[in-house]
Amino acid sequence: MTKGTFATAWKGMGLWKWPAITMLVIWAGLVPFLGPVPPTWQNHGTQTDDNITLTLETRGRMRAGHSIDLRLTANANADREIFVGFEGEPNEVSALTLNGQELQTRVDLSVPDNGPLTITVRMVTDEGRERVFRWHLGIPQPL
Amino acid sequence: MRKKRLWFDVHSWVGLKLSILMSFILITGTLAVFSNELDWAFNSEMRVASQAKGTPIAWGAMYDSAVEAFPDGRLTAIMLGPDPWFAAQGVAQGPDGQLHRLWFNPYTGAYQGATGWLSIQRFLRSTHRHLMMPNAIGIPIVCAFSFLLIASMVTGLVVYKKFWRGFFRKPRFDQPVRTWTGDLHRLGALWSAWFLVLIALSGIWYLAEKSLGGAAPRVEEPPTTIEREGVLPAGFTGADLQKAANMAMEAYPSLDLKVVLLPRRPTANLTFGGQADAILVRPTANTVWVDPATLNVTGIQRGETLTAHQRLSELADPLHFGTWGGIVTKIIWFLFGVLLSGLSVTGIIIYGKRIARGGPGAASANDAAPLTA
Repeated sequence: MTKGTFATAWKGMGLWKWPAITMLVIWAGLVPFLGPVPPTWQNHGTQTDDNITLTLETRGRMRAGHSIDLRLTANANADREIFVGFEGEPNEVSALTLNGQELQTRVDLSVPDNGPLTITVRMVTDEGRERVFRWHLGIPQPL
Repeated sequence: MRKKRLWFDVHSWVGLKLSILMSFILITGTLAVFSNELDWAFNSEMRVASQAKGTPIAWGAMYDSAVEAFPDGRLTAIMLGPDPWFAAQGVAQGPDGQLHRLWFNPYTGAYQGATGWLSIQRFLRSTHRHLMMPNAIGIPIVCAFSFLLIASMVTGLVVYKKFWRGFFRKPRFDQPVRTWTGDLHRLGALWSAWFLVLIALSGIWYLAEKSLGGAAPRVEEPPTTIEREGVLPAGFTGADLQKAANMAMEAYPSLDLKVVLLPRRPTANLTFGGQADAILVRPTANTVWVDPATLNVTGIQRGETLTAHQRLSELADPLHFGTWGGIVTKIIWFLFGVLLSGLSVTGIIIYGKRIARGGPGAASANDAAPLTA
Protein backbone atom coordinates (compact mmCIF):
# COMPACT_ATOMS: atom_id res chain seq x y z
CA MET A 1 0.00 0.00 0.00
CA THR A 2 1.59 3.23 -1.04
CA LYS A 3 1.17 6.58 0.57
CA GLY A 4 -0.22 7.73 -2.76
CA THR A 5 -3.12 5.29 -2.54
CA PHE A 6 -4.53 6.91 0.57
CA ALA A 7 -3.64 10.40 -0.61
CA THR A 8 -5.62 9.73 -3.77
CA ALA A 9 -8.55 8.34 -1.80
CA TRP A 10 -8.37 11.31 0.58
CA LYS A 11 -8.57 13.67 -2.36
CA GLY A 12 -11.37 11.63 -3.89
CA MET A 13 -13.50 12.08 -0.78
CA GLY A 14 -13.84 15.73 -1.73
CA LEU A 15 -15.70 18.07 0.59
CA TRP A 16 -17.65 15.16 2.05
CA LYS A 17 -14.77 14.25 4.31
CA TRP A 18 -15.00 17.48 6.28
CA PRO A 19 -18.36 16.89 8.00
CA ALA A 20 -17.03 13.45 9.00
CA ILE A 21 -13.77 14.91 10.30
CA THR A 22 -15.73 17.58 12.20
CA MET A 23 -17.86 14.92 13.88
CA LEU A 24 -14.81 12.88 14.81
CA VAL A 25 -13.12 15.97 16.24
CA ILE A 26 -16.24 16.62 18.35
CA TRP A 27 -16.17 12.98 19.43
CA ALA A 28 -12.49 13.21 20.34
CA GLY A 29 -13.20 16.36 22.33
CA LEU A 30 -15.90 14.59 24.30
CA VAL A 31 -13.81 11.49 25.06
CA PRO A 32 -12.07 12.95 28.14
CA PHE A 33 -15.47 13.64 29.67
CA LEU A 34 -17.26 10.49 28.59
CA GLY A 35 -14.30 8.14 28.24
CA PRO A 36 -13.91 4.79 29.95
CA VAL A 37 -11.45 5.63 32.70
CA PRO A 38 -12.50 8.83 34.43
CA PRO A 39 -10.56 9.82 37.55
CA THR A 40 -13.70 9.83 39.67
CA TRP A 41 -13.95 9.26 43.37
CA GLN A 42 -16.03 6.34 44.62
CA ASN A 43 -18.14 7.39 47.56
CA HIS A 44 -18.36 4.53 50.07
CA GLY A 45 -20.79 6.28 52.32
CA THR A 46 -21.00 8.42 55.41
CA GLN A 47 -20.89 7.07 58.94
CA THR A 48 -22.03 8.90 62.01
CA ASP A 49 -21.20 8.10 65.60
CA ASP A 50 -22.67 10.44 68.17
CA ASN A 51 -21.94 13.83 66.58
CA ILE A 52 -18.95 12.82 64.48
CA THR A 53 -19.54 12.25 60.77
CA LEU A 54 -17.01 10.75 58.38
CA THR A 55 -17.31 10.11 54.64
CA LEU A 56 -14.91 7.80 52.84
CA GLU A 57 -14.09 7.96 49.16
CA THR A 58 -11.51 5.99 47.20
CA ARG A 59 -9.98 6.46 43.80
CA GLY A 60 -8.36 3.80 41.67
CA ARG A 61 -8.42 0.04 41.73
CA MET A 62 -7.78 -1.93 44.87
CA ARG A 63 -4.89 -4.01 43.61
CA ALA A 64 -3.09 -6.16 46.15
CA GLY A 65 0.32 -4.68 46.90
CA HIS A 66 -0.48 -1.35 45.24
CA SER A 67 -1.43 1.82 47.02
CA ILE A 68 -4.92 3.21 47.02
CA ASP A 69 -5.89 6.86 47.20
CA LEU A 70 -8.36 7.55 50.03
CA ARG A 71 -10.19 10.74 50.87
CA LEU A 72 -11.87 11.32 54.21
CA THR A 73 -14.26 14.16 54.82
CA ALA A 74 -15.36 14.91 58.34
CA ASN A 75 -17.54 17.36 60.20
CA ALA A 76 -16.05 19.86 62.63
CA ASN A 77 -16.35 17.55 65.59
CA ALA A 78 -13.87 15.15 64.02
CA ASP A 79 -11.04 17.65 63.92
CA ARG A 80 -8.55 15.47 65.77
CA GLU A 81 -5.91 12.84 65.26
CA ILE A 82 -7.16 9.79 63.43
CA PHE A 83 -5.65 6.48 62.40
CA VAL A 84 -6.52 4.92 59.06
CA GLY A 85 -5.74 1.42 57.91
CA PHE A 86 -6.97 -1.86 56.65
CA GLU A 87 -8.46 -4.06 59.32
CA GLY A 88 -6.07 -6.85 60.32
CA GLU A 89 -3.06 -4.94 58.93
CA PRO A 90 -1.57 -3.15 61.96
CA ASN A 91 1.60 -2.21 60.11
CA GLU A 92 -0.29 -0.22 57.54
CA VAL A 93 -1.94 2.14 60.01
CA SER A 94 -1.05 5.77 59.45
CA ALA A 95 -1.77 8.65 61.76
CA LEU A 96 -2.81 12.12 60.67
CA THR A 97 -4.77 15.10 61.72
CA LEU A 98 -7.67 16.32 59.70
CA ASN A 99 -7.20 19.73 58.26
CA GLY A 100 -9.08 22.13 60.50
CA GLN A 101 -10.25 24.28 57.58
CA GLU A 102 -11.62 21.86 55.06
CA LEU A 103 -11.87 18.83 57.32
CA GLN A 104 -10.71 16.70 54.47
CA THR A 105 -7.61 14.60 54.13
CA ARG A 106 -6.09 12.22 51.64
CA VAL A 107 -4.15 9.07 52.45
CA ASP A 108 -2.24 6.53 50.41
CA LEU A 109 -2.54 3.02 51.78
CA SER A 110 -0.98 -0.18 50.54
CA VAL A 111 -3.65 -2.75 49.71
CA PRO A 112 -3.11 -6.08 51.51
CA ASP A 113 -3.31 -9.44 49.72
CA ASN A 114 -6.06 -10.88 51.85
CA GLY A 115 -9.67 -9.85 51.74
CA PRO A 116 -12.34 -8.90 52.21
CA LEU A 117 -10.96 -5.43 52.69
CA THR A 118 -12.27 -3.27 55.48
CA ILE A 119 -11.03 0.25 56.05
CA THR A 120 -11.00 1.29 59.68
CA VAL A 121 -10.73 4.82 60.96
CA ARG A 122 -9.97 5.14 64.64
CA MET A 123 -10.02 8.31 66.61
CA VAL A 124 -9.64 9.11 70.26
CA THR A 125 -12.08 11.69 71.52
CA ASP A 126 -11.29 14.44 73.99
CA GLU A 127 -12.80 12.29 76.68
CA GLY A 128 -10.30 9.56 75.85
CA ARG A 129 -12.88 7.27 74.22
CA GLU A 130 -11.84 5.40 71.09
CA ARG A 131 -14.25 5.41 68.21
CA VAL A 132 -13.92 3.09 65.22
CA PHE A 133 -15.58 3.56 61.85
CA ARG A 134 -15.56 0.73 59.30
CA TRP A 135 -16.17 0.60 55.55
CA HIS A 136 -16.27 -2.66 53.61
CA LEU A 137 -14.59 -2.32 50.23
CA GLY A 138 -14.82 -5.79 48.70
CA ILE A 139 -11.92 -8.08 47.87
CA PRO A 140 -8.44 -7.02 46.73
CA GLN A 141 -7.76 -7.39 43.04
CA PRO A 142 -4.94 -9.72 42.01
CA LEU A 143 -3.65 -7.65 39.09
CA MET B 1 -23.40 -0.06 -19.79
CA ARG B 2 -24.22 3.54 -18.88
CA LYS B 3 -26.79 2.29 -16.38
CA LYS B 4 -24.23 -0.01 -14.81
CA ARG B 5 -21.80 2.87 -14.49
CA LEU B 6 -24.46 4.86 -12.67
CA TRP B 7 -24.91 1.98 -10.20
CA PHE B 8 -21.17 1.83 -9.77
CA ASP B 9 -20.92 5.58 -9.24
CA VAL B 10 -23.48 5.36 -6.45
CA HIS B 11 -21.56 2.43 -4.92
CA SER B 12 -18.31 4.34 -5.16
CA TRP B 13 -19.83 7.57 -3.81
CA VAL B 14 -21.24 5.86 -0.73
CA GLY B 15 -18.11 3.81 -0.19
CA LEU B 16 -15.59 6.59 -0.67
CA LYS B 17 -17.08 9.97 0.12
CA LEU B 18 -18.60 8.76 3.37
CA SER B 19 -15.96 6.16 4.13
CA ILE B 20 -14.41 7.91 7.14
CA LEU B 21 -17.55 7.97 9.21
CA MET B 22 -18.78 4.65 7.81
CA SER B 23 -15.52 2.93 8.80
CA PHE B 24 -15.59 4.56 12.22
CA ILE B 25 -19.15 3.39 12.90
CA LEU B 26 -18.42 -0.13 11.64
CA ILE B 27 -15.19 -0.50 13.64
CA THR B 28 -16.64 0.84 16.90
CA GLY B 29 -19.71 -1.37 16.43
CA THR B 30 -17.47 -4.38 15.93
CA LEU B 31 -15.48 -3.62 19.08
CA ALA B 32 -18.71 -3.02 20.98
CA VAL B 33 -19.68 -6.67 20.47
CA PHE B 34 -17.04 -7.59 23.04
CA SER B 35 -17.21 -4.44 25.14
CA ASN B 36 -18.40 -6.29 28.25
CA GLU B 37 -15.60 -8.80 27.81
CA LEU B 38 -13.07 -5.95 27.51
CA ASP B 39 -14.31 -4.53 30.81
CA TRP B 40 -14.10 -8.03 32.27
CA ALA B 41 -10.48 -8.34 31.13
CA PHE B 42 -9.46 -5.00 32.66
CA ASN B 43 -11.45 -5.18 35.90
CA SER B 44 -10.85 -8.17 38.10
CA GLU B 45 -13.81 -7.15 40.27
CA MET B 46 -15.94 -8.43 37.40
CA ARG B 47 -14.55 -11.95 37.41
CA VAL B 48 -15.81 -15.01 39.25
CA ALA B 49 -15.18 -18.75 38.95
CA SER B 50 -17.88 -20.32 36.78
CA GLN B 51 -20.40 -22.56 38.44
CA ALA B 52 -22.58 -25.28 36.96
CA LYS B 53 -25.77 -24.15 35.28
CA GLY B 54 -28.61 -24.09 37.76
CA THR B 55 -26.44 -23.07 40.73
CA PRO B 56 -28.74 -20.94 42.90
CA ILE B 57 -28.20 -17.21 42.68
CA ALA B 58 -27.80 -15.42 46.01
CA TRP B 59 -30.03 -12.41 45.26
CA GLY B 60 -30.66 -11.70 48.92
CA ALA B 61 -27.01 -11.97 49.95
CA MET B 62 -26.02 -9.59 47.13
CA TYR B 63 -28.56 -7.08 48.37
CA ASP B 64 -27.23 -7.31 51.94
CA SER B 65 -23.64 -6.97 50.69
CA ALA B 66 -24.61 -3.87 48.70
CA VAL B 67 -26.26 -2.23 51.70
CA GLU B 68 -23.23 -3.00 53.85
CA ALA B 69 -20.68 -1.81 51.30
CA PHE B 70 -22.58 1.23 50.12
CA PRO B 71 -24.71 2.34 53.08
CA ASP B 72 -25.52 5.79 51.69
CA GLY B 73 -26.16 4.62 48.16
CA ARG B 74 -29.48 3.61 46.68
CA LEU B 75 -29.37 0.25 44.94
CA THR B 76 -31.55 0.34 41.83
CA ALA B 77 -30.79 -2.96 40.12
CA ILE B 78 -28.93 -6.24 40.36
CA MET B 79 -28.11 -7.97 37.07
CA LEU B 80 -26.36 -11.21 36.23
CA GLY B 81 -23.53 -10.99 33.72
CA PRO B 82 -23.78 -12.29 30.17
CA ASP B 83 -21.80 -15.44 31.00
CA PRO B 84 -21.24 -17.53 34.16
CA TRP B 85 -17.70 -16.20 34.58
CA PHE B 86 -19.00 -12.64 35.04
CA ALA B 87 -19.71 -11.15 38.46
CA ALA B 88 -23.22 -9.89 39.03
CA GLN B 89 -23.60 -6.15 38.75
CA GLY B 90 -25.43 -3.89 41.14
CA VAL B 91 -26.22 -0.37 40.04
CA ALA B 92 -26.26 2.14 42.87
CA GLN B 93 -26.69 5.87 43.03
CA GLY B 94 -24.40 7.55 45.53
CA PRO B 95 -25.35 10.50 47.73
CA ASP B 96 -23.55 12.71 45.20
CA GLY B 97 -26.02 11.55 42.55
CA GLN B 98 -23.37 9.61 40.62
CA LEU B 99 -24.03 6.07 39.46
CA HIS B 100 -21.66 3.31 40.54
CA ARG B 101 -21.33 -0.31 39.54
CA LEU B 102 -20.98 -2.74 42.43
CA TRP B 103 -19.74 -6.24 41.68
CA PHE B 104 -20.79 -9.39 43.53
CA ASN B 105 -20.14 -13.07 43.37
CA PRO B 106 -23.63 -14.16 42.26
CA TYR B 107 -23.28 -17.57 43.92
CA THR B 108 -22.21 -16.38 47.39
CA GLY B 109 -23.35 -12.76 47.37
CA ALA B 110 -19.85 -11.57 48.39
CA TYR B 111 -19.04 -7.98 47.45
CA GLN B 112 -16.02 -7.81 45.14
CA GLY B 113 -15.61 -4.07 44.67
CA ALA B 114 -16.94 -1.06 42.82
CA THR B 115 -16.18 0.64 39.54
CA GLY B 116 -17.43 3.93 38.15
CA TRP B 117 -20.43 4.15 35.88
CA LEU B 118 -18.32 4.91 32.86
CA SER B 119 -16.68 1.85 31.40
CA ILE B 120 -15.33 0.54 28.12
CA GLN B 121 -18.81 -0.76 27.38
CA ARG B 122 -20.39 2.68 27.96
CA PHE B 123 -17.64 4.36 25.98
CA LEU B 124 -18.06 2.11 22.95
CA ARG B 125 -21.84 2.20 23.19
CA SER B 126 -21.95 6.00 23.36
CA THR B 127 -19.44 6.25 20.53
CA HIS B 128 -21.12 3.76 18.21
CA ARG B 129 -24.71 4.71 19.04
CA HIS B 130 -24.55 8.49 18.85
CA LEU B 131 -20.89 9.51 18.44
CA MET B 132 -21.09 10.85 22.01
CA MET B 133 -23.29 13.65 20.74
CA PRO B 134 -26.74 14.40 22.17
CA ASN B 135 -29.05 11.50 21.23
CA ALA B 136 -31.31 13.72 19.16
CA ILE B 137 -28.39 14.54 16.86
CA GLY B 138 -26.12 11.52 17.06
CA ILE B 139 -28.67 8.71 16.67
CA PRO B 140 -30.16 9.96 13.38
CA ILE B 141 -26.66 10.52 11.94
CA VAL B 142 -25.50 7.00 12.80
CA CYS B 143 -28.78 5.34 11.83
CA ALA B 144 -28.80 7.14 8.47
CA PHE B 145 -25.77 5.04 7.57
CA SER B 146 -28.08 2.00 7.59
CA PHE B 147 -29.66 3.28 4.38
CA LEU B 148 -26.23 3.84 2.90
CA LEU B 149 -25.21 0.29 3.80
CA ILE B 150 -28.25 -1.07 1.99
CA ALA B 151 -27.58 1.19 -1.01
CA SER B 152 -23.98 0.05 -1.04
CA MET B 153 -24.95 -3.61 -1.02
CA VAL B 154 -27.63 -3.32 -3.71
CA THR B 155 -25.45 -1.29 -6.08
CA GLY B 156 -22.51 -3.61 -5.44
CA LEU B 157 -24.56 -6.68 -6.34
CA VAL B 158 -25.92 -5.02 -9.48
CA VAL B 159 -22.48 -4.16 -10.83
CA TYR B 160 -20.99 -7.53 -9.84
CA LYS B 161 -22.03 -9.65 -12.80
CA LYS B 162 -23.26 -13.12 -11.85
CA PHE B 163 -22.32 -12.50 -8.27
CA TRP B 164 -23.72 -15.85 -7.14
CA ARG B 165 -20.73 -17.50 -8.77
CA GLY B 166 -18.34 -15.54 -6.61
CA PHE B 167 -18.88 -17.21 -3.23
CA PHE B 168 -15.98 -19.62 -3.69
CA ARG B 169 -13.73 -17.55 -5.94
CA LYS B 170 -10.27 -17.40 -4.39
CA PRO B 171 -8.61 -13.97 -4.19
CA ARG B 172 -5.64 -13.76 -6.55
CA PHE B 173 -2.90 -13.00 -4.08
CA ASP B 174 -0.22 -13.51 -6.74
CA GLN B 175 -1.58 -10.47 -8.59
CA PRO B 176 -0.95 -6.78 -7.77
CA VAL B 177 -2.52 -5.25 -4.66
CA ARG B 178 -5.27 -3.62 -6.67
CA THR B 179 -6.43 -6.99 -7.99
CA TRP B 180 -6.40 -9.00 -4.78
CA THR B 181 -7.96 -6.27 -2.68
CA GLY B 182 -10.75 -6.14 -5.27
CA ASP B 183 -11.15 -9.92 -5.06
CA LEU B 184 -11.18 -9.79 -1.26
CA HIS B 185 -13.66 -6.92 -1.30
CA ARG B 186 -16.11 -8.84 -3.48
CA LEU B 187 -15.69 -12.13 -1.60
CA GLY B 188 -16.15 -10.45 1.78
CA ALA B 189 -19.15 -8.52 0.50
CA LEU B 190 -20.91 -11.66 -0.69
CA TRP B 191 -20.39 -13.60 2.52
CA SER B 192 -21.33 -10.69 4.77
CA ALA B 193 -24.41 -9.59 2.80
CA TRP B 194 -26.85 -11.30 5.21
CA PHE B 195 -25.11 -9.62 8.14
CA LEU B 196 -25.19 -6.23 6.45
CA VAL B 197 -28.95 -6.55 5.87
CA LEU B 198 -29.52 -7.52 9.50
CA ILE B 199 -27.42 -4.70 10.90
CA ALA B 200 -28.89 -2.13 8.50
CA LEU B 201 -32.51 -3.14 9.16
CA SER B 202 -32.04 -3.06 12.92
CA GLY B 203 -30.32 0.32 12.49
CA ILE B 204 -33.33 1.61 10.56
CA TRP B 205 -35.56 0.30 13.35
CA TYR B 206 -33.50 2.25 15.91
CA LEU B 207 -34.00 5.38 13.84
CA ALA B 208 -37.77 4.79 13.81
CA GLU B 209 -37.84 3.93 17.49
CA LYS B 210 -35.59 6.62 18.93
CA SER B 211 -35.99 9.52 16.54
CA LEU B 212 -39.26 9.11 14.65
CA GLY B 213 -41.62 8.27 17.51
CA GLY B 214 -42.00 4.60 16.60
CA ALA B 215 -41.23 3.20 20.06
CA ALA B 216 -43.42 0.31 21.16
CA PRO B 217 -45.81 1.03 24.06
CA ARG B 218 -44.44 -0.01 27.44
CA VAL B 219 -46.10 -2.73 29.46
CA GLU B 220 -47.84 -1.11 32.42
CA GLU B 221 -46.71 -2.24 35.83
CA PRO B 222 -49.58 -3.32 38.15
CA PRO B 223 -50.16 -1.19 41.25
CA THR B 224 -48.87 -2.27 44.65
CA THR B 225 -51.42 -2.95 47.38
CA ILE B 226 -49.84 -0.93 50.20
CA GLU B 227 -48.42 2.54 49.77
CA ARG B 228 -45.08 2.98 51.51
CA GLU B 229 -43.20 5.95 52.86
CA GLY B 230 -39.91 5.03 51.26
CA VAL B 231 -39.10 3.29 48.00
CA LEU B 232 -38.70 0.08 50.03
CA PRO B 233 -40.55 -0.84 53.21
CA ALA B 234 -38.73 -0.04 56.47
CA GLY B 235 -36.50 -2.92 57.53
CA PHE B 236 -36.43 -4.51 54.07
CA THR B 237 -33.51 -6.95 53.93
CA GLY B 238 -31.84 -9.41 51.61
CA ALA B 239 -33.94 -12.19 53.11
CA ASP B 240 -37.05 -10.34 51.88
CA LEU B 241 -35.56 -9.93 48.43
CA GLN B 242 -34.66 -13.62 48.29
CA LYS B 243 -38.21 -14.52 49.33
CA ALA B 244 -39.60 -12.24 46.62
CA ALA B 245 -37.26 -13.83 44.04
CA ASN B 246 -38.42 -17.29 45.08
CA MET B 247 -42.05 -16.16 44.78
CA ALA B 248 -41.35 -14.83 41.29
CA MET B 249 -39.72 -18.07 40.15
CA GLU B 250 -42.57 -20.08 41.63
CA ALA B 251 -45.14 -17.95 39.83
CA TYR B 252 -43.28 -18.24 36.50
CA PRO B 253 -41.45 -21.59 36.60
CA SER B 254 -39.80 -21.32 33.17
CA LEU B 255 -38.29 -17.92 34.05
CA ASP B 256 -34.50 -17.99 34.18
CA LEU B 257 -34.02 -14.96 36.39
CA LYS B 258 -31.40 -12.48 35.14
CA VAL B 259 -32.28 -9.10 36.57
CA VAL B 260 -33.93 -7.56 39.62
CA LEU B 261 -35.04 -3.95 39.42
CA LEU B 262 -35.65 -2.30 42.77
CA PRO B 263 -38.47 0.25 43.12
CA ARG B 264 -37.71 3.88 42.34
CA ARG B 265 -40.90 5.23 43.93
CA PRO B 266 -43.06 4.22 46.90
CA THR B 267 -45.83 2.74 44.75
CA ALA B 268 -43.58 0.60 42.56
CA ASN B 269 -42.97 -3.15 42.68
CA LEU B 270 -39.87 -5.24 42.71
CA THR B 271 -39.39 -6.28 39.07
CA PHE B 272 -37.92 -9.69 38.27
CA GLY B 273 -36.94 -10.27 34.66
CA GLY B 274 -35.24 -12.98 32.68
CA GLN B 275 -35.38 -15.37 29.78
CA ALA B 276 -38.24 -17.82 29.40
CA ASP B 277 -40.20 -19.31 26.51
CA ALA B 278 -40.15 -16.38 24.07
CA ILE B 279 -37.04 -16.24 21.89
CA LEU B 280 -35.08 -13.14 20.86
CA VAL B 281 -36.32 -10.86 23.62
CA ARG B 282 -34.57 -8.80 26.29
CA PRO B 283 -34.74 -10.04 29.91
CA THR B 284 -37.34 -7.44 30.85
CA ALA B 285 -39.81 -8.87 28.31
CA ASN B 286 -40.51 -11.70 30.77
CA THR B 287 -41.36 -10.07 34.05
CA VAL B 288 -42.85 -10.88 37.43
CA TRP B 289 -43.81 -7.98 39.69
CA VAL B 290 -43.74 -8.49 43.44
CA ASP B 291 -45.02 -6.06 46.06
CA PRO B 292 -42.04 -5.46 48.38
CA ALA B 293 -44.33 -4.85 51.37
CA THR B 294 -46.44 -8.02 51.17
CA LEU B 295 -44.08 -10.12 49.00
CA ASN B 296 -47.11 -11.13 46.92
CA VAL B 297 -46.93 -11.42 43.14
CA THR B 298 -48.89 -8.51 41.65
CA GLY B 299 -48.50 -9.34 37.97
CA ILE B 300 -46.77 -11.44 35.32
CA GLN B 301 -45.76 -10.40 31.81
CA ARG B 302 -44.82 -13.17 29.38
CA GLY B 303 -42.72 -12.33 26.35
CA GLU B 304 -44.86 -14.41 24.00
CA THR B 305 -47.96 -12.33 24.77
CA LEU B 306 -46.39 -9.03 23.68
CA THR B 307 -47.80 -7.32 20.58
CA ALA B 308 -45.98 -7.59 17.24
CA HIS B 309 -44.78 -4.01 17.69
CA GLN B 310 -43.36 -4.80 21.13
CA ARG B 311 -41.75 -8.01 19.87
CA LEU B 312 -40.08 -6.05 17.08
CA SER B 313 -38.71 -3.67 19.67
CA GLU B 314 -37.44 -6.60 21.75
CA LEU B 315 -35.92 -8.29 18.71
CA ALA B 316 -33.67 -5.41 17.65
CA ASP B 317 -31.09 -5.52 20.46
CA PRO B 318 -30.36 -9.27 20.52
CA LEU B 319 -30.02 -9.26 16.72
CA HIS B 320 -28.00 -6.06 16.39
CA PHE B 321 -25.67 -6.86 19.32
CA GLY B 322 -25.36 -10.60 18.56
CA THR B 323 -26.12 -11.51 22.16
CA TRP B 324 -29.01 -13.90 21.48
CA GLY B 325 -26.85 -17.03 21.33
CA GLY B 326 -24.29 -16.17 24.01
CA ILE B 327 -20.57 -16.14 23.34
CA VAL B 328 -20.92 -18.19 20.10
CA THR B 329 -23.09 -15.63 18.31
CA LYS B 330 -20.95 -12.82 19.70
CA ILE B 331 -17.88 -14.37 18.06
CA ILE B 332 -19.80 -14.69 14.77
CA TRP B 333 -21.02 -11.09 14.99
CA PHE B 334 -17.52 -9.87 15.76
CA LEU B 335 -15.99 -11.73 12.79
CA PHE B 336 -18.62 -10.43 10.40
CA GLY B 337 -18.16 -6.97 11.89
CA VAL B 338 -14.47 -7.23 11.03
CA LEU B 339 -15.48 -8.30 7.53
CA LEU B 340 -17.83 -5.33 7.06
CA SER B 341 -15.21 -2.92 8.40
CA GLY B 342 -12.72 -4.52 6.02
CA LEU B 343 -15.05 -3.83 3.08
CA SER B 344 -14.98 -0.16 3.90
CA VAL B 345 -11.18 -0.11 4.11
CA THR B 346 -10.57 -2.26 1.00
CA GLY B 347 -13.03 -0.05 -0.89
CA ILE B 348 -10.82 2.95 -0.14
CA ILE B 349 -7.70 1.05 -1.25
CA ILE B 350 -9.36 -0.08 -4.48
CA TYR B 351 -10.36 3.48 -5.29
CA GLY B 352 -6.92 4.84 -4.50
CA LYS B 353 -5.15 2.18 -6.55
CA ARG B 354 -7.38 2.55 -9.58
CA ILE B 355 -7.16 6.31 -9.73
CA ALA B 356 -3.43 6.18 -9.11
CA ARG B 357 -3.10 3.81 -12.03
CA GLY B 358 -5.54 5.34 -14.46
CA GLY B 359 -5.66 9.00 -13.51
CA PRO B 360 -8.85 10.97 -12.88
CA GLY B 361 -11.95 9.24 -14.18
CA ALA B 362 -10.39 5.80 -14.03
CA ALA B 363 -12.61 4.69 -11.20
CA SER B 364 -15.80 5.03 -13.21
CA ALA B 365 -14.39 4.13 -16.55
CA ASN B 366 -12.45 1.05 -15.61
CA ASP B 367 -14.24 -0.43 -12.69
CA ALA B 368 -17.01 -2.37 -14.35
CA ALA B 369 -14.48 -4.69 -15.96
CA PRO B 370 -12.71 -6.01 -12.84
CA LEU B 371 -16.05 -6.54 -11.17
CA THR B 372 -16.90 -9.18 -13.72
CA ALA B 373 -13.59 -10.96 -13.31
